[in-house]
Amino acid sequence: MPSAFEARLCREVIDTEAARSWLTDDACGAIHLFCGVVRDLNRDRSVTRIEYHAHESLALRSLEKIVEGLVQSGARKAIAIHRLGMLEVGETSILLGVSLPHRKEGFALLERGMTEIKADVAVWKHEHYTDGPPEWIEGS
Amino acid sequence: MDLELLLFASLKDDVGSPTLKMTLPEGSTVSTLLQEIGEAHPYLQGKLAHVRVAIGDEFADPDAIISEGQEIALIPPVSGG
Repeated sequence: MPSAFEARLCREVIDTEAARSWLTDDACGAIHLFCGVVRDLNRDRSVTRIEYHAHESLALRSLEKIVEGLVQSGARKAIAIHRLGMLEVGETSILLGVSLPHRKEGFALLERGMTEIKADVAVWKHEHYTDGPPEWIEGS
Repeated sequence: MDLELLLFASLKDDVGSPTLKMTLPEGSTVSTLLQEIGEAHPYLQGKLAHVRVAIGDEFADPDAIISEGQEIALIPPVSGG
């Protein structure tokens, strides 16, 4: 039987449609996808791009635990993909998805998963600006 | 025992290196390690209060015992997503 959860770090563009296909399950009427995207403004500063750094083995282990937890809490399938390296404004840095029979619980599972990712996955933003040198963002 | 700690994000910039060497007595704990780093490198002290320690692929409790040869990393507050 295929695994019910998947976690990945990648350096290439995240394929949202492939993730959606992976989440497809005949027993599921709901597929929830969340994409976190690089935006052009943070803390009143104009952002040009963000480089994502990681402690890769630790980050991957944490991502695996998070999606496994989502499956244990009712998702039929769960997937998390975090991109690393330099991203331009508008690019997807994180994808989190779950599928389950009905939609209602899925919204809460996505929110929980993103909260856990923000707290525990060893990834850091190195933010680049129009008006000065890049800075590390720690805690968000 | 001799340790070579992995550094990330601003800690790496502060130290000017991706690693930090420390020598600690056998049987030292994670909290002892952080205390010793603060004493050896006072300029890091403000950040160490917010740093977690990872041993291998897992976050370690403050009272976890450290052994030579383990991969030990200092993890500042994360900002992924």
